[in-house]
Amino acid sequence: MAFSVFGILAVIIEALRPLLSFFLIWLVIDLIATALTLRQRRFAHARARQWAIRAGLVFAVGAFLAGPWLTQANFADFIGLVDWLLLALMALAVGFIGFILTLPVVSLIRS
Amino acid sequence: MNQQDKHLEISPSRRKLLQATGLAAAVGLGGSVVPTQSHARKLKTNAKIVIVGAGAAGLDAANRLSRGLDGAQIIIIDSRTEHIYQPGLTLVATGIWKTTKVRDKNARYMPNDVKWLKKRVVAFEPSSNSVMTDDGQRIIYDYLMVTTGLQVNYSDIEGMSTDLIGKLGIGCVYDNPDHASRTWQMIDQYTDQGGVGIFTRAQGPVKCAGAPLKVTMLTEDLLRRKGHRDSASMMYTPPAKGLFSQPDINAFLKEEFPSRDIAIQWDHPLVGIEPELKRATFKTPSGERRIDYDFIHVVPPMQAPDPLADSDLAWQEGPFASGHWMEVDKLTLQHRRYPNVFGSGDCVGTPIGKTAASVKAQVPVATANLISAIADEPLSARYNGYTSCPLITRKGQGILVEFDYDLNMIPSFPFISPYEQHWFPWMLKDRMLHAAYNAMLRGRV
Repeated sequence: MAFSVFGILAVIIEALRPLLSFFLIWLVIDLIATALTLRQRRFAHARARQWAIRAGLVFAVGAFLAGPWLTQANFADFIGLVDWLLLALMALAVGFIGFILTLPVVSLIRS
Repeated sequence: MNQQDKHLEISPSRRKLLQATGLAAAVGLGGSVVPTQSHARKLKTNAKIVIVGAGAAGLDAANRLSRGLDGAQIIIIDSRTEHIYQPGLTLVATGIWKTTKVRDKNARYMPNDVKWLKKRVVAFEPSSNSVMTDDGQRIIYDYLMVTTGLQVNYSDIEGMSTDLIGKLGIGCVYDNPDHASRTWQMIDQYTDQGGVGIFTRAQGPVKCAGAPLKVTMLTEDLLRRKGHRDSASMMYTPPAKGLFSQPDINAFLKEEFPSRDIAIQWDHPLVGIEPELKRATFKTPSGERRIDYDFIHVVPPMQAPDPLADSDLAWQEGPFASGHWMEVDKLTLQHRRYPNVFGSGDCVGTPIGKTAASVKAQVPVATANLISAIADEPLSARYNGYTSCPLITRKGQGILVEFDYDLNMIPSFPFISPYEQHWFPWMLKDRMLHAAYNAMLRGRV
């Protein structure tokens, strides 16, 4: 089955649909925080980046540990390197999203 | 004829005119196996298109046609307002999902510019380009998309009725969440108490042929988890000498079942049950055989819905005639005798499994070719028989099986072996495929 960027985005939106309102609220907060910190020229300053990286790490480790549980499975169900690598990749993706979403807010709080 | 009839009726002689109109603004089809309508220019037409059935294939087709056509009158006919995520029924029947997770509403996916007639089609009359609804209305079309799904023939098994599901050790995962939920009550009881468990498989094509296998393996897994495996005797009763159409997976299952102490009784089509006695009758090559059970998973024979089966749209001869499946060209999904009729989903007679994945691959082809037909262009889209089954072998693991008409494996994720059990296919089934399915209903994948 061929994949398209458009199709993948459509699936991600459907997967997140129950949480879309939460993400939208967070995005609005992020936009406000970004606007405020950009005016102060304090967006993504070094301390904020450090805090956002820490937050991203927490998200990533949390996703790694909770991944099997969220799918009603456990680590004993993992077979071979592929399953572990895929879980690690998904955790990294969650961590990156966590970093992106927290950066504007911590830029504001820590400015 | 009432006012609504007048509004709906269009002379069939308009087709040539419509084709000419379509030619003037033909979309840029061609090149790929399935043209990407989403990015193509809309085809201007005043064609009247009727879609029969608002299941997965019908909604997907409605969304694609709505986006691919400008000015067309698109009507979808189905009295059902609830939408069931049928691929999730095996998880409901084995206690992993709640029924709320598979219940949805058709209205959420219905395009605004598509007219939804909440009626049932009771007759197809392709020679007059019309369908009849249950209130006696004749609806004439220029083009027809048949997506009726299929019909489960419970009465083909003597003594069986849907009322028995969830009683006296009888389960059946098919048809609706209520059946799946009642099946779970029986499986829960069986995996607590043990005894003889029979897992059947009907003759002929069935919806999601992997479902009976998954129910069997998930029940076995649950028995182990509950610590009652030793008190249960399990048997799987295929109607012939195969477990799965794809040969590699067939070979895998032939080893997997015995290794999990699931006996395979070949050539055992179920023909009757005696619910009070908890006794099943099988028609084997050596005569009828009766087996007592504590739990039985009944998989009845299936066929095209009666109105379609009784019409001239059904195969008249060949391997698909017995199930009265719709006669389509297996590559273009165009009817072989009525060129303005197309089909997709469970109702079509093609030599491949009836799954949501098949729908996902078929509908873009059928709709692209329908649009080409309106434009009076060659039908360029081709369905290669793609189908897929996340074959869940136990809670937490599965195999992602994807293959085509030639039964060749065509994995979407080359790094995931289609021959080994992994967590990843389970994760897809539990978390991602429902989202992909919903995106499909919107015609987005």
